[in-house]
Amino acid sequence: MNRILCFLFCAAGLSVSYAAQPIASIVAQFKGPTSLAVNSFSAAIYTVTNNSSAPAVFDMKPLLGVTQVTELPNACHFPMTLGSGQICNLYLKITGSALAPTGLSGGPVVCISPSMLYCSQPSQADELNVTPAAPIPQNSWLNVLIAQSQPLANLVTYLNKIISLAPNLKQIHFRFPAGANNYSDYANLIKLFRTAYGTSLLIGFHPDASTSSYSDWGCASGNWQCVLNATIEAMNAVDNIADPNHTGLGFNIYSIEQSYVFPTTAPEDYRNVKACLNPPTVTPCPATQCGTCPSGVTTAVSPYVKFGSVLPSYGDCAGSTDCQYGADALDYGYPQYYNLGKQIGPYTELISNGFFPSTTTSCKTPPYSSHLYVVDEDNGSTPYDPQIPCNNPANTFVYPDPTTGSPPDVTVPSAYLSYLMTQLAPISNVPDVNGATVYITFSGEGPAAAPSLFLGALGWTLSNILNFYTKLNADFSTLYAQFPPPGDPMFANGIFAQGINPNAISYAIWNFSAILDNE
Amino acid sequence: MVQAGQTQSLYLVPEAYNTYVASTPTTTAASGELFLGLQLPVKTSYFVQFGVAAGINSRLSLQGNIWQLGEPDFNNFTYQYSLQHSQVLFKMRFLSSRFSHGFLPYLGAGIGAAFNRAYDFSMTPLAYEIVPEAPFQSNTKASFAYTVSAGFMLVLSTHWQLGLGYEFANEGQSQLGPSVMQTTDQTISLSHLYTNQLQFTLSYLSLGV
Repeated sequence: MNRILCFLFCAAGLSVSYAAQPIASIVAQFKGPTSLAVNSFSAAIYTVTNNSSAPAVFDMKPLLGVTQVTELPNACHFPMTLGSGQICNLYLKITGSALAPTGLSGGPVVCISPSMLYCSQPSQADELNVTPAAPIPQNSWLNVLIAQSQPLANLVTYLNKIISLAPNLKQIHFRFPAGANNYSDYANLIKLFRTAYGTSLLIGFHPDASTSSYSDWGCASGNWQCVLNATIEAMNAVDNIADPNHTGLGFNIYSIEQSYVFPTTAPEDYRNVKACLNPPTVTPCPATQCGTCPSGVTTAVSPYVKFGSVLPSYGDCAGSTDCQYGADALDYGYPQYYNLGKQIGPYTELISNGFFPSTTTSCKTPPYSSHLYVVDEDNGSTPYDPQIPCNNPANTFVYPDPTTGSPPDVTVPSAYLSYLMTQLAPISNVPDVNGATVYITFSGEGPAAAPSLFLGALGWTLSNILNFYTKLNADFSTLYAQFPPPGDPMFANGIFAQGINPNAISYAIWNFSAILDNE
Repeated sequence: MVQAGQTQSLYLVPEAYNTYVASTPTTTAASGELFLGLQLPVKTSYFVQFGVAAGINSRLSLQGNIWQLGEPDFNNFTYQYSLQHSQVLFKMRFLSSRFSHGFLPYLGAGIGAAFNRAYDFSMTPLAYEIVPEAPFQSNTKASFAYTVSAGFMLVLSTHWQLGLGYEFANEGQSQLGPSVMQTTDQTISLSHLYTNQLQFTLSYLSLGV
């Protein structure tokens, strides 16, 4: 039709009304952030379509601070040939330290190579627009985040807040609500995180399999095998989109926690769930090592994933003396370090020398009983009496909001936690974990969980969180210097003979949405 | 009136071309010249003038559309540029004083050299998503030109005449210069430029007998 119009109007010399169209359409799936701290990073994802009627080699004009990630599904890898109408996904990592001082305004620009004369760019609404911003505190010590809430609706905002909290993240576990079916949102989330953090990031599937979730999963109350099956189906559905070739680019870990519908009291309970998630390492597998996937789970997991659990303690697996770690049970453990109480024992001078801030010990007078408990929570039902800290209302964490607590003090949690951690695995001793990896897990709960809140309280800015970690390690050094071997060593029997060096501990935060809200 | 603009496809790089779809300008050019010559009588009441004329035209604006890759689906830019024409011609005129001694009709013709400067090339993308190409640069081209004309000369004094008339001309060739991004030397060119103009002439004549 357009050609007939041209025949009529071209001859008369009138201007032709063909539409304009860029040779390549570059459309934002996820635009990058509008500002980026110079010591941070982020991601953007575009689709690029060759609109011409012939194949051509395309290339992207270099952009300072922007690199292509090419290991993800159907990734563009410029320079590359695109057939007529062919689409590829342009995964871009944006690095704050590599940005020009003026940041990014415009692009990505894709041109026919090698002449780079025929160039196209995104629409004005879609183009990159990033202003460098002041550096932010780097909590590089945070290796794992486990979500208790579903992702924010704006996936890029969710990504950027998590990057700000944990730039050195090794694992992220996304919360999947019972019965949810927005699989493509989770696939997009996975692609965004892999673009920003790199493909070595491990991504966990953390479904809501709590005891109130049966009906949302379409299961009869009590039928936990049905819930396990439904969660595996959901995880597979996301992986089919995010990782169609099953090369480990989708979910890598399936994680559960306490108060889930799955039984976790008998030794074989963890092994039976794991048997549904990945194959045994020893074949044939002895009954004492391997479980059997319950018959109610009919869906085969695809691809295989590792198995992790948020545990009540490091070595004590829900009361069982047979720790369920290792190649045929849990691959990852995330013991929650709260609800702790340990006696002061021979270390009473820590009270008199002010290691425990005097505002928290003033209710006790010397001589200090060795039976005095050091606690992080007075939950009213524990036999922690007598105890420090003082003036602690029942059923509260003792860790005050560092800016509004009584008194506001960033150092109270580090003093109490550092002591408590020396009395527990892995510093006091290391249980045999058979090759599993265990992360000490702090709570990120905030005002919604009050009074049981820790790093999600309002005063826990990123800077204060970093101060807490710095002080925690300084406190370990203080304790080690104060109680060296051979006397009554704090770190049992010599230089970490039974325990590990606190510097080697890897840390996680469980339930971190309040921390993101505070950013 | 100018009949100009020639649609052409150009390879700015070896692997692909643009089609420059010219639209016909509607502006009317005007020109002025200075004529220095000799006037001789040929018969009673008839004269011939011959000499050298140097003249320039008013600026001509040409425009059109650009189809990238030569495809009408990629009608992606409008373009425009200017032409400035100047010339040096040997001109001859036949005049008659039969009707009046102060107001002489003439017929004329001329041939010589044209100097056409093509400049101020710009291209405007028709959508934000289309990235501009580097523009052609300016260039002056010399070529052969000729004219035929008719009009009236007003006798100002013994040696000075002022003329007003119609002139048809082929103002010669023009060509833009290459852009900084292209690897070939193909640029927009016109092989001829036909004009129909209103012409002003100021003549200084040496009279022969």
